[in-house]
Amino acid sequence: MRRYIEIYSIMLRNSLIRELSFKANFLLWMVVEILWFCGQIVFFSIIFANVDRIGDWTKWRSCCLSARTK
Amino acid sequence: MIAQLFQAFFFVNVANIPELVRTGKLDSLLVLPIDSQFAVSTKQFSLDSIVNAGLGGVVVCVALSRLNVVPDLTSILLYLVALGFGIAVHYSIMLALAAVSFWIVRAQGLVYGYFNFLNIARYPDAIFPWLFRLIFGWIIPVVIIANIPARLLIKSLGQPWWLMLHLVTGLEYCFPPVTRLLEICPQPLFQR
Repeated sequence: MRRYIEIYSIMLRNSLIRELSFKANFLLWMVVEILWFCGQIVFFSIIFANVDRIGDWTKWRSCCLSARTK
Repeated sequence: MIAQLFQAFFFVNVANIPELVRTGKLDSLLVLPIDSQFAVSTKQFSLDSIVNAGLGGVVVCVALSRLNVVPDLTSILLYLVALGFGIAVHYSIMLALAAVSFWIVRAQGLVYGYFNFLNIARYPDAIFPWLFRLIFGWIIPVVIIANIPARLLIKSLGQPWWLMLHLVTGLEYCFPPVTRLLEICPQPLFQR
């Protein structure tokens, strides 16, 4: 078990080093994902600007769901 | 959060399995003196996704404050457990799809197709017709993996223990291969 944890942590460290060797790309991907997520919130905002609820889901409940899935 | 955490820890690896099969590089992983499933599933990480999962957590907190909901400790614990179950469901389905590459070699279409299919999970289950909910709530439990944890936090949307039972049942009976990794600490995986 301990051996596997060590292997796992080594792989994690290697991944971090590999990702950070292209820092700009690493940061850009985060920005892209954040923007995509903002798009989701806007999508729900547009829907709930026209209806109060979908079934028992209100706007913020749906946002909670969307954030959970994301 | 589920999709981002899954992406951070498993997606790159599982999506790469068909390519490993096609190029024959899987053989070099199979001969390593560690469990093959562990080696195949944990080789790489997509660490930027962890930050985005944190963003998802922030939005959950904002949404809860707007709803004036203060979850108790049990709800938070159940939520975290459900989060783990959600990742496990994704992992199991995707691993099963990637395994098809042993027959058809290039199975990226299946893997990426499923990843896009995950988008249905972020919509409230109430919008789907009953047959759709039956199939994707019990047989391929994609819809429940986000809906149930959200319902767990927002208590008025359901009974927590019943919701957890649904989640556990969906995971256990649909995807026994995953339980191999879910039984993560004990026997089969870590004994070698």
